[in-house]
Amino acid sequence: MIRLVLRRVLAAIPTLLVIITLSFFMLRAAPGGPFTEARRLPPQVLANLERMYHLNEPVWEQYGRYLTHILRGDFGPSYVYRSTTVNALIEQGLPVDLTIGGLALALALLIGMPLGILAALRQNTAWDYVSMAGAMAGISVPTFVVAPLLILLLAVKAHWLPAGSWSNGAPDHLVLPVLALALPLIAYVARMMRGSMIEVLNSPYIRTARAKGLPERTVILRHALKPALMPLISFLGPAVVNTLTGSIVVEEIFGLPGIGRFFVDGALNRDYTLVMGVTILYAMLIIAFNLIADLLYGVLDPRARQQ
Amino acid sequence: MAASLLEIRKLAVRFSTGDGPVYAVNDLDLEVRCGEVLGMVGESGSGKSQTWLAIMGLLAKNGCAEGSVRLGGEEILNLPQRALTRLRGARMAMIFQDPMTAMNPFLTVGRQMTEVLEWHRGMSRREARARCIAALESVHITDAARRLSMYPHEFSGGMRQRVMIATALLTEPQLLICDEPTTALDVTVQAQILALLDELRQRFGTAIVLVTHDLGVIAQLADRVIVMYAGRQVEQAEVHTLYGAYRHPYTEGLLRSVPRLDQPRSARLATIPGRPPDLARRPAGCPFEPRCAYASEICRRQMPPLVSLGDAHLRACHHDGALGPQEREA
Repeated sequence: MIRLVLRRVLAAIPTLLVIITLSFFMLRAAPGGPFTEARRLPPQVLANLERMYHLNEPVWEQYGRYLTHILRGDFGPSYVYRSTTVNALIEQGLPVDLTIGGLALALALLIGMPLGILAALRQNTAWDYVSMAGAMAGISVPTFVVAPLLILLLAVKAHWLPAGSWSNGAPDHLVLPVLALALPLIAYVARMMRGSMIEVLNSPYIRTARAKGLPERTVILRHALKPALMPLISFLGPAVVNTLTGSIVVEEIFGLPGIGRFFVDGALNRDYTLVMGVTILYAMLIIAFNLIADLLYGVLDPRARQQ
Repeated sequence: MAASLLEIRKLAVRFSTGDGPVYAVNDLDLEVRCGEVLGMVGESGSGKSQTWLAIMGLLAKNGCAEGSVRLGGEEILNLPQRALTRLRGARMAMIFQDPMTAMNPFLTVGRQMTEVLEWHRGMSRREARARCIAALESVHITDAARRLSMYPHEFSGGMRQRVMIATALLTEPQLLICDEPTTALDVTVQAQILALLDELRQRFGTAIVLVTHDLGVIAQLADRVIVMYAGRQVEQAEVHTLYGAYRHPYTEGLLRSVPRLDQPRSARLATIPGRPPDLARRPAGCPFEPRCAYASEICRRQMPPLVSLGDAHLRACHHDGALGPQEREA
């Protein structure tokens, strides 16, 4: 177990290096720069700015400098949000995303799993059809439709909840964004859970369990649940990260100070260090959550544990 | 003759499909006697497995069973779920073809065994463990205590089937249904499993139903044989009668198509021409008629009834004349 973690962490280093290198040079290759603005700066000012941020040096030197900074955990200053560092921006924005993303995922599992299991157990009944039609709708309707609808119904018309803003994460301000983020996830989880549960319930070892006379409750809880969870686990690794990155739309609509907008703003403004910082952060998150998913696999499946 | 243990009367198994109802088993009458080994043979789709799945209440969701099945005089067909959980695994048990997939890969072998005793006998885990160790030893698995905490993937195919048999016999059921128990195993392991079944039958007096398409397996173990074709019983006889003096053209075809080592290598393997009928579009007459060398006009029009030829030998065929030469089986 510890050896697996160590091996995976070591293997992550070259991956990260490739990601850093590629995005570094791709960003530099894009036309324009952080200080190319509609109203051109006087050449003297521009030269000063570039000297200050070492943008006048050869690109290889900049790359080497960036790498050494990163090793110290320093993502550098932001070029666009002047006088702040990328680290500060991430420290400010990440908790917002972690809060709404984490809550949305928890909600998705809490609601989606039982929904899917029940649909599987009552396959081809009204319950199954209604919940799966709902899930299909949840997947197909995009967030930028769901979120304004939620605001319109629950905030503007009913006045139950605030329509937006962060307010330091006050619970009533969290409800709508979390719901908007969770709805498609609930739908995904429910559909996956239903599918894998149906598959497991048709497997020969479930027939064996029934042939042994075990009551249906034991058959499902002891024999079917664990194997049915396996596809969900491999889905959850990437899903966690997607939820964090995918929250851009939700952040924008509800006016939340998350990281998502830095991605967009940073890319549009050629804020090299900010885009790099966010990219590296997501890469690390993806690697970490895939590792966690693999470890969970090992915990659940004795066959995976051996390898 | 031993007392009757299981009586099946007019059993039919029907599946509702997109093309309408399909009968996998039709009008089946038979009995299993205490302590005997009853072989049931037929090709894929003959209804041999569905018969026993229906009796165990394990049909697929779109399947339903009609008729009557009595175990020790008590009706057991289409019991409610609750009653089934007291019957299955306690008074009758079933093991399946592929021991690789028939055991839960996520649970230890011990858990999959002890749960049977915990549920049916109300034993504690500890008591059940001791019994399971003894049961594994009785199917010749050594080092049983350690093996209980292992997972199925750490066992070989033959060992898994031994575990399945040991598990099935934990509650000393009166009836053990084996659905193709050796089909997925190597020939040498097959022989060991058959020998084990024979040994256990003698020790516990369990009646065994052996469902297989392998006539060699039947010949080794069965006392009586039922030949199924397209969901119907076409012949039933003592094993020696069947191999020596079969009276149904389909049985003849089956026995002829067994590969033989004493034939020259250049000899072609005999086969039955044609294929089994589509169960959804069943002909009016004998289902075997289109493939039968002895078919006559009446076979096309009328289903032959199952009639006794005396000496516990039954068959369903219109053909009265002799079948082909039988000297090799005699």
